[in-house]
Amino acid sequence: MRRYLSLYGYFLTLRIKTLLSYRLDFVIGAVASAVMQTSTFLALFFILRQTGTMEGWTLPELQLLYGSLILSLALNQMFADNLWSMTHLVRSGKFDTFLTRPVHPLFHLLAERFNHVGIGDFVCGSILVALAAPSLPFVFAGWRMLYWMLSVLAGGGIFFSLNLLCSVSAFWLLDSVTITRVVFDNHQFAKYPLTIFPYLLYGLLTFLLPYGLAAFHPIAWLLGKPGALPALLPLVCALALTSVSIVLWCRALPRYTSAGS
Amino acid sequence: MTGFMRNLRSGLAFIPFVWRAQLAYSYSVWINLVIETLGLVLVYYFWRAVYVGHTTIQGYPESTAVSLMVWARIFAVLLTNSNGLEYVGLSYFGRLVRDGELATELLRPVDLQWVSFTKSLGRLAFELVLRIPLILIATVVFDVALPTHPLSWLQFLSSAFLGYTIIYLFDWTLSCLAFVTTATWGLNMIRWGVAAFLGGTLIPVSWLPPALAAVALHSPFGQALAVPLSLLLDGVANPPWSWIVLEQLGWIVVYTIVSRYVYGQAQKVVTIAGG
Repeated sequence: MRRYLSLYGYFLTLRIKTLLSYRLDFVIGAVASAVMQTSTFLALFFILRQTGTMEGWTLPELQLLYGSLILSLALNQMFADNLWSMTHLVRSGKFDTFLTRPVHPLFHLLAERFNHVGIGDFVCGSILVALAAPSLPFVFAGWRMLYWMLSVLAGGGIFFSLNLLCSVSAFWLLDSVTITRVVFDNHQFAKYPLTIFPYLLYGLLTFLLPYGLAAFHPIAWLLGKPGALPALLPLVCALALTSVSIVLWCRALPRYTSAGS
Repeated sequence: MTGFMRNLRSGLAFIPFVWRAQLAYSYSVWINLVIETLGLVLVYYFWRAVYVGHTTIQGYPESTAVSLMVWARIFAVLLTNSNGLEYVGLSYFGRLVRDGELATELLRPVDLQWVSFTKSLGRLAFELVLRIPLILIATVVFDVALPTHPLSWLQFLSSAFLGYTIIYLFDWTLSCLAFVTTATWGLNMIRWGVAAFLGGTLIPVSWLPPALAAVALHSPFGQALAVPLSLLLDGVANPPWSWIVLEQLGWIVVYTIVSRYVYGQAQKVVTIAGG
């Protein structure tokens, strides 16, 4: 474990040094994603300014939900973005590299590429939550803060495990981007209270593509909103899903046949 | 005149190839359709939720706002050059410079800007055809109002064409940044975020504070989407069609001059990689 942590630190330092060799690109990349999120949230802000609430959710509450989801997304973006490269790596035969090193292939795949774009999302999400906190109907501290932090981590785990499960398809179909895109795009629904959608979508986003567990259910539970699952369920599900996805990925690994020459 | 005709012929000749290239990966066409349909579902239910407990907001009844935002989602393709193959935009220019293809393009005896424009129009026509299933879903499943008067469609299509020309010229100007920086991905993302907001895909432009709404409506993004959409729907405040077209033509003249000038200057500083 200690060896892997030290290796990760080495990979991270190397990646940041590489990124910083083009400082302007680094800054623009980090800011870009935050601009995208901010524009969507600004629209929500102007809408709520007219309506006051949306299905019983006030602006600070929606802000907490939106910010929490962005933070989970940012964690996945920063530390597991290389999963999007699986198609390219498998098709080009470059995935061979990961199999010839004396570390676990999945660890190497994830550690190889820290995505700085997630920094913008992380900062954006943190600002949204920090600005919402004083206006929430409870004191955002103590066990609530701890539960929220765990739920953000769990959310990151859900994003990671769904992307990991989709990336497995690259071993059979030589393409995982297509299916990952279709699955990943569903996280847009989870930026809003799931109760605004029909039951079918609520169920789909809770049990099948559980992006709802990444933010809606824990935040709704914290706020005492209808539709929330019991507090620990999202955390347990995230842990289980992450473990299952890692096991499945490792089981699927022998299916890889090199395409390179 | 001969040069113009040659450019026109060359540009039009490319359109069938553009369609074939778009269809080369048919699964991506279907995947995009699935993603767009999901987006449509999200927009529909989100806006229905906004109106819970309200009959009108900013003078818009629920049906008008829902229709406007659903149409904005469907026609958001008017704002972008990034779905499928690109013929303008930061990513496209970045690739031309990075791979050295720009040198080949500049050697051809045709005007690159014009040829790219016709290719881009071909791509837009393809994307609009792909929107037909979405229009059917919107009208049949979500019961979103579809304008029946042919004049509304004619006015919309003419304004959309002019708006697309404006955004093409704007993108051409912006793309020249790819000649001096490699941060094209980030800049493209920023452009997308601003386009979605000012173009009216996230919120009706008239719901914004007056100063911001004015900026949005006169920006290339507003001219490309929010303004044409206002002609499509009853009950959405807009100036007369003739005035809109006149303003759009004015912007086209301005952006043509600016884009030609910036492109000319950028060519002087570009360092083409590859070989």
